[in-house]
Amino acid sequence: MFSSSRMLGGLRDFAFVLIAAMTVLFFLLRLTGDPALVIAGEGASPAQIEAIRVEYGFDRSLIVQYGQTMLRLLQGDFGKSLTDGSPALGKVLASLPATLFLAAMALSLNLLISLPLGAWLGQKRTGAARRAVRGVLTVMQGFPGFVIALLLINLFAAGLEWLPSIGYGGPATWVLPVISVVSFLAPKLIRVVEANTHAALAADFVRTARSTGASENQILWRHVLPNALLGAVALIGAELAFMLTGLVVIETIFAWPGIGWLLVQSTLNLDFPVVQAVVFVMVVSVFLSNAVTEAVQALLDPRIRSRARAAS
Amino acid sequence: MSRSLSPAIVGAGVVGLFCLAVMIFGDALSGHDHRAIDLSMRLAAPLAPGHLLGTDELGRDVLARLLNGMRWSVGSALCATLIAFSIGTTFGLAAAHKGAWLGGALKLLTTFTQSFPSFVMAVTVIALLGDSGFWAVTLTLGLVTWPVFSRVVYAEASSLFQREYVQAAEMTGMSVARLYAHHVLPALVPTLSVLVVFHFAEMIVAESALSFLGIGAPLGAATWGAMLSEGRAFMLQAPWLTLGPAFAMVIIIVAAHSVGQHLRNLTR
Repeated sequence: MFSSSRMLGGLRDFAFVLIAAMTVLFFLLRLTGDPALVIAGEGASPAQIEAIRVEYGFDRSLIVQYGQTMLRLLQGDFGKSLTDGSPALGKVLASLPATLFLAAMALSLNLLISLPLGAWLGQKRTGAARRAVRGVLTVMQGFPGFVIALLLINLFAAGLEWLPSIGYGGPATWVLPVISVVSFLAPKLIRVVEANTHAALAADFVRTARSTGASENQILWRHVLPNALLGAVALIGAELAFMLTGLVVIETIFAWPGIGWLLVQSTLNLDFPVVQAVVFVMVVSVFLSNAVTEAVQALLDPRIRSRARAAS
Repeated sequence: MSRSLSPAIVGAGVVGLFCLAVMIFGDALSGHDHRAIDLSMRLAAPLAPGHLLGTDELGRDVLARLLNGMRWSVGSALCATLIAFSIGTTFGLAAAHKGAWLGGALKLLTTFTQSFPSFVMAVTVIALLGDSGFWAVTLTLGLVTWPVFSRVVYAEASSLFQREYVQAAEMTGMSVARLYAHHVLPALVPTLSVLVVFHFAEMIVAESALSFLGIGAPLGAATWGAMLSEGRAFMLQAPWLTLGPAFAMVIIIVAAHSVGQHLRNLTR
């Protein structure tokens, strides 16, 4: 399915991005705050702070510290959280399931809504019902995710008191976060599926199928939808990658204990090792999600498959 | 699609003119100072005498605060878009015109910005730039998002430089400035104009998200994000504190989207 040279290229890019991310992060964090002050806490004497500096090696030159940090990262040592002393990577891995869970639920619901709705919209340009749905979508696209989250909390948690507003407990706490994420991801996906369905319906292979006497249903399921889905895979992949790094505000609003929430907390607390571990895990997840997207594209599209075979 | 003026684009035009008025006059349009505290008028509901959209927990006029927030958000989003546009277009053109390695670097950079959380970038860059002011946020947004432009410009311009009329112009010894002015830039205008408008809408959201989290705007400033964040404590008592900035934001974004859609239809 993949040529080995393409896979090597992908791995090389991944290594580069990972090193670049860790490097940029190291210098950004060191230039913005003094970790010794964070460890010492408020009210520490200058002597205490100095002692911590020596103990952790913060008194050495930035380049030496950078080298040491990278060496440790290479050995999988992310250090300990400055706030509670627990292993930084462990903290992140403990938060990862909550984010993955939210992303998986949002992704499934998004597909369940967007694919049929997009296909239905793409079948025809005219009609009152379709026009109304398009109007709703246009307005929906204007709602930022975190604004939807606040409005939903306003309505269902504060006003009607149907659902809990924050936390991560049973199914009742999942509803609002998932709906918030889906309601700003879905309009985009619906639009793309709609456009692709429309384009596929006008394509030669549909005309050919029709001329051979295939029914409209057969045409839609066998010829149009697979093609429309194909074009949507790239967007679905991008949305997945976005959910793995970009749910910072939604997770904060709902106090959802995922890596986005952890990222906000650790960045604001200047908890450098945890920030480093979160960013590391995010870069790896985005890489994996991109790799899966490419694999799915190749699986679905015989053209990409044959191109890859020809290249190898 | 028709080229006549649709209701959507007329509405967007009205929103645009209103924006312009707010940029010039600010909270003066509401007849109140957005910082004026009036403890006798706390949490007044909308349509209260003298306060069209009500007041907040300190008796400050919500409309005045909304207008001040609009000045801040729209101004920041405009400047950030301009910064991202300038850097991104320059880089994208350079990569498409000269240099195989620039194209490769661009791809890596795109992957990098996709996986590096922009929140960390924003927080640290704002901290580096010193005070949490307007320019710190605006510069950060521009500097974090420009690869969006370079990616699109690179893709479009690369195919442009393969076209015969551009290659012919290059071969006849046309100066680079003339080549760009006559053949390259005009061809990019349709795509770029749409992209600029949509990017502006995204910058509105990004700026508000940052100030919602308490990053960017100085503490206590009347920005949409800060207002949304403060309004959370009064969701039941005073939902207008949340609804005001939420709908202001949505109106601006929908207006920007309909302008983008209109531009897209025009150039098709």
